[in-house]
Amino acid sequence: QGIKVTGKVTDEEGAPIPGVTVLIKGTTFGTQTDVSGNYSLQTSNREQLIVFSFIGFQKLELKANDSGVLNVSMKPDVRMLDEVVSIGYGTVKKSDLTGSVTSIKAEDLKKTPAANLDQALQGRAAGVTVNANSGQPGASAVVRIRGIGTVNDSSPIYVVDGVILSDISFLSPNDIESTEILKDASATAIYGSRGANGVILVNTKKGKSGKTTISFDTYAGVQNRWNKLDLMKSKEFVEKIIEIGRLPGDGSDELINSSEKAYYDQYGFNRWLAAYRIGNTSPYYPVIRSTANPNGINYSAIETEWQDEVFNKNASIQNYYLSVDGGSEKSNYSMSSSYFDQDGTIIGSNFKRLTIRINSGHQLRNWLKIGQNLTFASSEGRNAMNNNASPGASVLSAALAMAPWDPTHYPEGSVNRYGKDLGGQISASSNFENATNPFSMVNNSFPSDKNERIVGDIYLEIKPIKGLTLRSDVSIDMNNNRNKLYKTKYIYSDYDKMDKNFLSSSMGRSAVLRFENILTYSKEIKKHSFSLMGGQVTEEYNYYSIGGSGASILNPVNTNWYLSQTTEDRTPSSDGVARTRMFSLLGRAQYSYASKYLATINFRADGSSKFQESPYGYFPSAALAWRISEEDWMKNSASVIDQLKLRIGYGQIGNEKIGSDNFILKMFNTGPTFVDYVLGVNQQLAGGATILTYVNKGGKWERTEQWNAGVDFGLYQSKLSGTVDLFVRNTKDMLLSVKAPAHIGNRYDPVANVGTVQNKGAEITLTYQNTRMLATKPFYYNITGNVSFIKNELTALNGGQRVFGTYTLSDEGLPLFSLWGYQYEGIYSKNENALDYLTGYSASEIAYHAGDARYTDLNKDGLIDDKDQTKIGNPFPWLTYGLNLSANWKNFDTQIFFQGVYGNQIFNAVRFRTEGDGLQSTLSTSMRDLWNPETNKNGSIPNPIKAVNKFASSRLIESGAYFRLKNVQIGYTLPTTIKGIDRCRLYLAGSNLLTFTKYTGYDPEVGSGVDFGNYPQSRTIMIGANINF
Amino acid sequence: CEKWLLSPSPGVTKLEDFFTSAETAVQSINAAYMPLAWEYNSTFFSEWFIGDVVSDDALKGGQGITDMAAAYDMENFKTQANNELLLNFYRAQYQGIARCNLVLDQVPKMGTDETLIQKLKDRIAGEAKFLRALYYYRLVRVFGGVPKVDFVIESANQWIQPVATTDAIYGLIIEDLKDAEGKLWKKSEYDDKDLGRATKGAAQAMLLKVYLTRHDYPQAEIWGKKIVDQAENEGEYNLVNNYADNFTLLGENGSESIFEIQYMDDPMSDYGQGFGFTRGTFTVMLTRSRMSTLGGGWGFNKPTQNLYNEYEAGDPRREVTILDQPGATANEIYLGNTYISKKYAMMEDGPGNTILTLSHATRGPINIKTIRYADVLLMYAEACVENNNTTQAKWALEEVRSRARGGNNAILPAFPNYLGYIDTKGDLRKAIRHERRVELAMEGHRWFDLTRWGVAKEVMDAYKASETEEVRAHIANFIGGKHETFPLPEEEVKLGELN
Repeated sequence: QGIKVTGKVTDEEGAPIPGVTVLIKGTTFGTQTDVSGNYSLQTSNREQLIVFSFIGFQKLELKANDSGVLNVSMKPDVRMLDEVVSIGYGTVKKSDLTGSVTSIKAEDLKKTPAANLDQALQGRAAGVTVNANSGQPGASAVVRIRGIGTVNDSSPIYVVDGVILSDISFLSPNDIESTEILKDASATAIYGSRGANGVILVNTKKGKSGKTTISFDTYAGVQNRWNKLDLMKSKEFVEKIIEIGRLPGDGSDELINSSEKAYYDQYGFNRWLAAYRIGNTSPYYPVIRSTANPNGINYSAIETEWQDEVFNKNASIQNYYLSVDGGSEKSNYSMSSSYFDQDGTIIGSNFKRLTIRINSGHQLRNWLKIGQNLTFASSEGRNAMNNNASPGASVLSAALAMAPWDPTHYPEGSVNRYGKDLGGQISASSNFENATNPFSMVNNSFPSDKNERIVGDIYLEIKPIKGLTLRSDVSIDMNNNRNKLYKTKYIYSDYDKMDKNFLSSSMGRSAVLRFENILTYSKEIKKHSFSLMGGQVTEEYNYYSIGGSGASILNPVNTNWYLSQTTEDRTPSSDGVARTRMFSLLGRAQYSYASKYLATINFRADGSSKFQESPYGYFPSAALAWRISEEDWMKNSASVIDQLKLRIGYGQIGNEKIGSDNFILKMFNTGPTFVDYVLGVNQQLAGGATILTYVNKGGKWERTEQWNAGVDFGLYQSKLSGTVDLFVRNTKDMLLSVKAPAHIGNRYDPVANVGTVQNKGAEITLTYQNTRMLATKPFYYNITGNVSFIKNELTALNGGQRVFGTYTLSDEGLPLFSLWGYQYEGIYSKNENALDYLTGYSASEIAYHAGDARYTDLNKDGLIDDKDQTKIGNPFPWLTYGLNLSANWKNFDTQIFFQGVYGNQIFNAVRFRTEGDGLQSTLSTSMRDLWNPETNKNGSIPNPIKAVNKFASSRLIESGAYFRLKNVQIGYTLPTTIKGIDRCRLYLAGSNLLTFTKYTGYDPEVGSGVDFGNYPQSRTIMIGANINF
Repeated sequence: CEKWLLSPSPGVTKLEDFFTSAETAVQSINAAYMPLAWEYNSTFFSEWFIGDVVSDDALKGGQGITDMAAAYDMENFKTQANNELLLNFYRAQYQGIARCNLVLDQVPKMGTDETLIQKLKDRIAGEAKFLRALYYYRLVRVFGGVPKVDFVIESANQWIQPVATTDAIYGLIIEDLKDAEGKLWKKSEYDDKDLGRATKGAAQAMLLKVYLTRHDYPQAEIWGKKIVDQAENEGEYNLVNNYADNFTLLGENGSESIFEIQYMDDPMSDYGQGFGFTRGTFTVMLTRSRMSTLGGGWGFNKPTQNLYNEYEAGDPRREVTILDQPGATANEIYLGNTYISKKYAMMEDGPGNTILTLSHATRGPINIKTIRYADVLLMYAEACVENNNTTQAKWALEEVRSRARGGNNAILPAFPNYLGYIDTKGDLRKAIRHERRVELAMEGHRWFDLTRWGVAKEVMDAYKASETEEVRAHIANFIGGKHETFPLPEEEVKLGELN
């Protein structure tokens, strides 16, 4: 039977600890110590264990003796500091870290429902900027660690169980045990030519000896669009188009008389559409209702919300994950399988992935261990879009190009003028005739993009003498892609059609094979502790692809969608091949004295086949740390400071993410693209060959130098802890794709080592955690915030050409990829205003009149030309932040996660269309304020028919700042009364629930800073369960 | 280790390993023709966007005035320096020039053997020189002076090249053409499989054209006579009996053809995204009527009333050139104009002389006629009249008119018995210019003829006055001495420091 237990809880020095949670094990029944450290509680059973827990102290489990008095002395928990952290080719105690490394807990990552780790990282770590880039299921996010170091690929590398990878899409986030982000050069230099953009180290789950765990995790939910553009409806749209057609281009104060306007006024919408858009002869449109044809389709009554039609409602997302971990004394294993399935919020998009993972380790002898990690992933998906301006490029841009009076499908009974029944058929675009109906894109095209990936390694660890370890590792990353596209034969209009069915099919295989040998030696002599590491890595990358296409499959059922069934237009199968090789030597020395003074030196030499003229690059780094809190004078003082560490580091690292043959002058003769010409009586392609790109000679690695200074601290028994880092990162010899003048004759641009880029920044992470009593139950809460500030600048071009992108420019003194164009001031309301301002033009040649954009004449030469263009925005935010609140109380747990950016701008290129001439897109309701010489002289939108008003200008620049409630999760853990189930937690979660932004496009998360109508993020609501057996 | 690291990459042909056989030499010159056929990179460029649309012969057309704003600006003398049609045109020409330079740098160094005989080596060099001259001619007459690059630019310190004068560019063109003329084979010497390559006759015709442009009439007459003699004495060229046959698939590369840009029927051509496989021309789809029954095109390059009126009564060439469709629906009407350009619309190339259905959504197989023998005859006439050789001038003019007449003596009388002409040098010049306009209408020549004759301003002003109020509202004032050429593309001015 039970007894009453009382006692006092003190620390090692005998001081009472208030607020300690005292619970009977396995129940939620318990109490908390009072201000004097005393507690009292009733047990139901003598044998019950009593658990004492408090933040910053080691947990204790004790049984009360017969007296019922149980006094307890708790020891500080130094385990948090002694967590082992991966640092690349080795591990180190967290307390001994000298570089800037952020660890992210697996539980936090799992709270964002994402197919990939990269999206789940958003807002979680200071210095790591993640831009979801696209709401396309399965799409990878843009991850930048400490800013953008280069105009080339600035993505970090991923190292999963020691295997270096450039992307991590194969891995289920459920399989992740720990994630470390290496940010500064002293930490990443061991990865040499790959370290410049940061390293994300991931360890997958390993089994533990003696304990078998079966886990089942699942969630399922629905996703919906959270935003849409405000576009005109039919009547307003057509009248706006007609108005635009009447705007004078020369600033006259009268609208041009147009026969179209008179026609529309006299005969109405249906006859206008027939006369001005559809024509009398087209077989693609149904007969329009008129007095002569009372049974025709009445376009004037149709009002299609295209944005609603192409967005799915309640698109599903689901994930299932089952794993078994365990082990005996000598062996351990971990196996798992997961299935992820997400439908897109835009029609015709989805992603599915199945993964299987097996990790194991075996201690064969005392001195010999082998182990393996292996993951297989199979995924397939369908893309709805690219971020592209063309109305034919994506479902979303096609939807904007359809007019609101176009039905998605013709109603039953629709007949064209030749008597053909069009009922039920996908409609033809009637306003802009060179548009494809988005339903035609989805229904007549059958893409199948499948990927199979194998990532794994086998390693051998030999420990011949104490302290010495030799580890040999063979790893492979193999990727098989199979892309097939079948398009049906159909005709909806002269543009939206396929004359023959068509099939293309290709396979590509890439494989990285790597062989590593790493020798590590550790030794402690009194207070001196050494660790030496040296190694060698050899690797080869191979790529091979083959594919072909053909048309006219005679019996086009899907079982016949193979090239062998095509009968016409067969292209000979063509193959592509690439190879790069790398040879590396690396080493590291670590020294610590009394765990107070720490030093690390890294070195790596990489030789790469990409740089034929100077293959070797050398990448050294060094870092020092001082754990002030270990000094006696700190320990002795009754300080609130539990730990305090200062760090400083410097290193040089490289970036080799460039094409494999950028520096080889080569003849291009693999026609028919660009080189084959038509010759002969029978007019056939004759093979051609030429140089498409005159390369620069002597290219070498991009090199980055980085300084880092940081401080880590913990206060009040580590209730409050934090890290502050300052860094300066200079990229030198940046490989710029250099645009040569046209007379070089290059088809593609060559690259050269010309640029230097500087990123400066500060990162702050603060965590406050505590436990309080709430209604007699302990309430644990944790508040973690991170902020990073980054300033990016292209500091020099060294004779290289500035790099123009679409509406962007990278130039000396500007941030990389600055948005570039004219400063827009407003609209000239009178011709004279333009002439007065732009004195360089005569009245007869000036292109600016009333109704045209007034751009700032920056150089005051009276002309508007490229010399007046300037930076009009920065696509990269100078401030990014995340704020996570989590709490546990009784069986409930909750997490609320906010994330945001500030200080960046977006070029909203969609407005070129929605505020354009009405041809290529339905117009925005903002066009109500279009300049009009008769009715709206002071309108805010310039005359869309004039070329001068289509220049890139600050008119289309908008703030990209946003603050997003990224994630909310509420969980409930069932009392453990169900037999056979150790733990069962149910939860309800939501993502992207609220977004505060002034941006007027679909979504402020636009990867490039230029928004052509990107796939927006969706709002997701889901339920899930975590069950352990 | 070093050897393993730096062993040659698979799938890469280095320049120094390439020029080893006759086939490779021929491949290198084939690639040099290709940029002539390019019409992509967010543009639907053909020279007629300048030759016809800018001139008094045609309106831009398309779906409303905003459809292809770059062409709208050019047509109405409002061109901005960032005009993308002009930028892409400029870049394509220099890619062609660089390919010619590569051929001229490599092929002459090759040794001869049984397949690469000297005659073939010479021909390849001749083709390269002809093409280089043609590319420069296309540039100089649009932009005036441009950088003169007649060598392979291998290193970045040669990137900045001065803008050469118009005279220097013409000097290079003439030098190249003369060299090419000596090396190229006659059209009749080529195998069937080589039809479409540059010929001796093509080089002579270009010399005639270039000397006319330079107003060097004695030289022009000499080169014109060489072709005329070959036609008259050797049967190398002649006017086809039926004028309309020049614009059909069957008539391609026929006896009247001197140089054509070759296109073929291929459903695989790209859609203008710039993926690089241009095998058909956009011109067909661009110029066809917007009405489905007439081919369902985009309705660009619409002949003006002014051109329509230029034809003499009963001239059958008007029907071949202009489709008049009074019943056109409104979506076919551009600023009140309902005419359609027929020459590249392939309206009788389908089965049973119907409209050809294109196998590709936007690309057609018809060749672009760069130089026809009729063009040569009229250029020859032009040279002769300026040299006071009126006999030859009248003969050449009559050759063209008599073919147009097609045996119907009730129409198109011989000079001077029409349009009120009298037998003077001045009226003969007028008659030749009139004939050029109607014979070669909508083939991309008119604007360049006007600027060559130095009459662009007076003709364009008169044309503007003749247009409807609706059209006039869009045309800016023509500034003589400025609007004859177009500004160098802004982006290239920046990149190449072309100041």
